[in-house]
Amino acid sequence: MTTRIIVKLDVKPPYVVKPVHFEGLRKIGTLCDLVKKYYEQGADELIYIDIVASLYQRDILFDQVEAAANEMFIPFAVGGGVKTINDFSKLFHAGADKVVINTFAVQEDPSIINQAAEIFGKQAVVVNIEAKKWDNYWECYSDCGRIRSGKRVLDWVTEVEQRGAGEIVLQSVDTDGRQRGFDIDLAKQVVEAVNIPVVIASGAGSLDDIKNLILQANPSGVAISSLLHYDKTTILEIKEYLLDNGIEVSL
Amino acid sequence: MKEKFGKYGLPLDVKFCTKCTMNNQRPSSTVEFTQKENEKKRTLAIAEDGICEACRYAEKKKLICWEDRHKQLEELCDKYRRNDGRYDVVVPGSGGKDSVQAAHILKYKYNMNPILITWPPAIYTDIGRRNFDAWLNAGFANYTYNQNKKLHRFLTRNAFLNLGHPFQPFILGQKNLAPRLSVLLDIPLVIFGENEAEYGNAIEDNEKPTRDPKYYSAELSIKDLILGGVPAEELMDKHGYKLSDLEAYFPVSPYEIQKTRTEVHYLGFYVKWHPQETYYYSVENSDFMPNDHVTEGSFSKYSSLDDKIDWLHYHTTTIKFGIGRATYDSAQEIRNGDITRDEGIALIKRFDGKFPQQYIGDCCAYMGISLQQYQDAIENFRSPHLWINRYGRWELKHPIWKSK
Amino acid sequence: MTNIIGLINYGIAGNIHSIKKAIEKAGGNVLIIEKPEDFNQVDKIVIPGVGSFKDAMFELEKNDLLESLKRCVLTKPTLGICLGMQILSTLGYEYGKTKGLDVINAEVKEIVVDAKVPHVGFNKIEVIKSNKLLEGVENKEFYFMHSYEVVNYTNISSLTEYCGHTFVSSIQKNNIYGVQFHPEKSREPGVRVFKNFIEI
Repeated sequence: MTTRIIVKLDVKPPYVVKPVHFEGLRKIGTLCDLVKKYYEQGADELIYIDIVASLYQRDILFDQVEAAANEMFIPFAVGGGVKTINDFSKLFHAGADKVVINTFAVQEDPSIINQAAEIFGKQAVVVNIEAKKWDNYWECYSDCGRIRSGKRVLDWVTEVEQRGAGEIVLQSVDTDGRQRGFDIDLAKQVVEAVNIPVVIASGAGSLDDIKNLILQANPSGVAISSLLHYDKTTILEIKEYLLDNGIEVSL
Repeated sequence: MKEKFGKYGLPLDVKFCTKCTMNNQRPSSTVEFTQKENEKKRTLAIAEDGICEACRYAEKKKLICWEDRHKQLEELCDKYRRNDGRYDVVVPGSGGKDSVQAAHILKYKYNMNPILITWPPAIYTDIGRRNFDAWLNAGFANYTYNQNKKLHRFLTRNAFLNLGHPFQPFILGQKNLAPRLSVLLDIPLVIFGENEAEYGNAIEDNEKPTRDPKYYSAELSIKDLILGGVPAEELMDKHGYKLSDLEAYFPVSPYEIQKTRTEVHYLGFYVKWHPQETYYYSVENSDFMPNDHVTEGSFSKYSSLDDKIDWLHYHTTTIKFGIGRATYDSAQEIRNGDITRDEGIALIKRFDGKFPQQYIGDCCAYMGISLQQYQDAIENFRSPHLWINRYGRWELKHPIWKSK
Repeated sequence: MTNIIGLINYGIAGNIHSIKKAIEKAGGNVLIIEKPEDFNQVDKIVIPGVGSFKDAMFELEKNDLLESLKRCVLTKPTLGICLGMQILSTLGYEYGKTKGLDVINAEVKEIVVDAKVPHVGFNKIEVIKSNKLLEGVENKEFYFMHSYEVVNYTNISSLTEYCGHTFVSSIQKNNIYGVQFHPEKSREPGVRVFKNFIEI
């Protein structure tokens, strides 16, 4: 099975921004420009997270999602500020193919995962995790890597799988945006803990980082941001490098 | 005649800037070493058109030719640069993002040889200590003046109980240490991070690259000096503290400064200061880390992280002026185009003025008071025209989210 | 001659926007079907994915589309995508037993494989019985995201292998087509599939 090469877009509509450790709102470009850029570069999937919707306690900007979803024929996973089944439904009708949820599920009511899976099917319900290391465990954060939940990542991933989530996107507050490599230990433990696909994000600084992550943690997909936003490489270059190193990707 | 001013000389009529989230209760920087209780403060001016001086200045800043300013900094550095391998600029700080950027830029872009100097926080946070180490790890040496802790705690306690301003001892040293060390080390050039004028003090303060000497030097006799609301003479005669230790908090004598020809500049005049970009610079060029979670009382993770007393400081500004850390932070981010005013208001509503639960225990222990004593004392500083007690809970009479 | 593609709106579920965009990119005209009368205005039908078997059937019935759909599927060219293909079956086992449209004699059961489930990502199709729909895209990769599969051994047009497990990736019975993958999410090959469908 090919490993998906995914681009994660941290969105403060109408811009794509790139925080470091989930802090900072430096603008990278407009949403539509970047969606086009990465679709044409050959991304397998795009993840759009409105990183401030929960933090600012504001509604989802559906028109932004719709505008972004127009010229790209690859899967579009959309999240940020999702709280109700109606949010899920409106997002699917606005162009999302999967809906991503974190803050509301981990801080308020995890049963939304059960409800959503039953209506929309597991595979369309994705749980996003912002993991931060404390001593010898990782804790789940919310509201753009700011608020502790008191829940441990390894407990939470098992719980969301049982509740019916079909996929996990795992981010690390410790490594995100720093381009110094992934938290491979975290990645391995989570991939092994569940039987649903896990996409690992946060930390790609080089082609080797991506290769090593895949070889050591065996994720279903790798989500990349900074490396591509700052044009240090392209998706084609990443895929070719991985193929050269014996890793199956979709070209 | 109707009273127009309330406690601290604050205007009774609360007005909000129409561009940012700041309001007219915000005091300007004080000359700390003469501050007495119940002093009337100069506050942020909001013009007829509803725009505050800080926003006005931000607009003006857009017209600045930064190329010229860079050239001026280059000339300044050319003037003071030493080619014999010795330190040629004093950079004060504690490893926060501003001093990280200042040190790095001066060394790597302007080829200077900085010596870092630190007036340390009263109580280091974990993240503060880690970032201090990271600062030095980037390749710098540092002189830290570790205050007489017994004295520092005494001053902090007094400053809190008498003035509701536990941060005063820190501010005193922060402004005075660099010029003092400049004289001691015979390095005339001192360059600080941004000027506090950025935040809305008298705009005139920003027209010059140099810090106004009135903030750090004075030809004052001991008789005129007051620390923590207690006259210096009393500190010596009644409480037994020595001049040698107290001197650290006093302004430097202008004669000393003249001997070395010390000049205190602020980098914010020469380099466009955008706090978020400073954060990015720091993480891209050193091992600087943001907070481990949102900073209590605000929404951000990258500012003012190293002193536990800082958390109390913002609690006191909330009580006195109705302005908490989220208000300060959001106003700045709005001016820099990072967030909109509406977003700032939402953040203030959610985070501003939160009780400093995380460090209150440590801070009270430091000051030698109980939590109850803290709660009682702080009430002396609450401005009646800003607060109302509803069902045992204090609420702002005019919060920004209820203003038109 | 008109060639209007009717796209079923379940109500809550279904990634309507994506499919509409892809059909339009392929040169088609789309009408969203929300009430029984809408069926009269279309020449072909697309049944979307993104939903659960149980919920899809429930919503179709609730919105009064079930009977009309059952009839039109037999007379107008139809393309079922992912869940849309699955509900063409007799019975589904997702969140309990639910009757499907019963257009193909099959059941929909959970994928059993020694690998991650749901099956998510790009995977190849192997055409075993060529047809107009898959013309020009034999052996291409398409995007899959599903936890259930159609268990059927008579109307198969392509198979796909996932970690040692082979399953039905597309079917055809007369003018009824079903694809387990998402052509609207499969780049150019996917758009080509829609083009082929428009020209049927």
